Amino acid sequence: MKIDLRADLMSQDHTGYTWSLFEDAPDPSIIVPGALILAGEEGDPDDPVAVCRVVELEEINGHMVVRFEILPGDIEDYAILVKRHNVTA
Amino acid sequence: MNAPVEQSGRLHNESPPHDAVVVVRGGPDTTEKIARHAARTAIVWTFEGSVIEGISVLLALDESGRYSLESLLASMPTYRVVHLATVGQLRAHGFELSATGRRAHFTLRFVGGGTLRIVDLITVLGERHLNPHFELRRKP
Repeated sequence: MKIDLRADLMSQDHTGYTWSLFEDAPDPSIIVPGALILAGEEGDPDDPVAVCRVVELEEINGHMVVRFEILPGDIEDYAILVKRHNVTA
Repeated sequence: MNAPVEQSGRLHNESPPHDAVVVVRGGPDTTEKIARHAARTAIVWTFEGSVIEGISVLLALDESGRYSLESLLASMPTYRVVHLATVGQLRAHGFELSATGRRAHFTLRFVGGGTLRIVDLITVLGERHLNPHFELRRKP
């Protein structure tokens, strides 16, 4: 499974949101406020991955910080929902 | 360009945690992964004017309730495995904890920094433990 944003899902800043850097997204064009993304790590079967919602972006020290919230459930739960309602993008 | 965010004035009001408090780090951790996570922190945060080298951890601050070990593990259902150590074990190896973010979140700082410190940290964090709440989430 390819992730959209490589991130430490334990990270947290003063806003209370989890965060990573824009440059850690293989396709930065999808990292916009409100977007649903897969964030986490990959490479080890035990690596954590979560469905997340991008909250905001903020430039700090020449880098773009991406703040996001981890949503409940995993991607299979969302796939079941989409399939049940026959949703197309 | 916005400067790195100074954390010393943003710490949550927390007494220094007792040596017996359990520290939770979502796994699996590797030297490369910790280095990458620490590099992000070093880019955007400072502590007392200096670059922070460190990673995020949670501390089981209470015996029961939201910040107990059980509740913290339940709050990490995306983690199949975690690493567990105590504050005392980390302090004994020269690591420091800063109360960044919201309650229970801390930044585990590598005083002195460098790859050797990360290897030392991997040793202190020890083996992977299964997070029972990862399995619970997937039961019908």
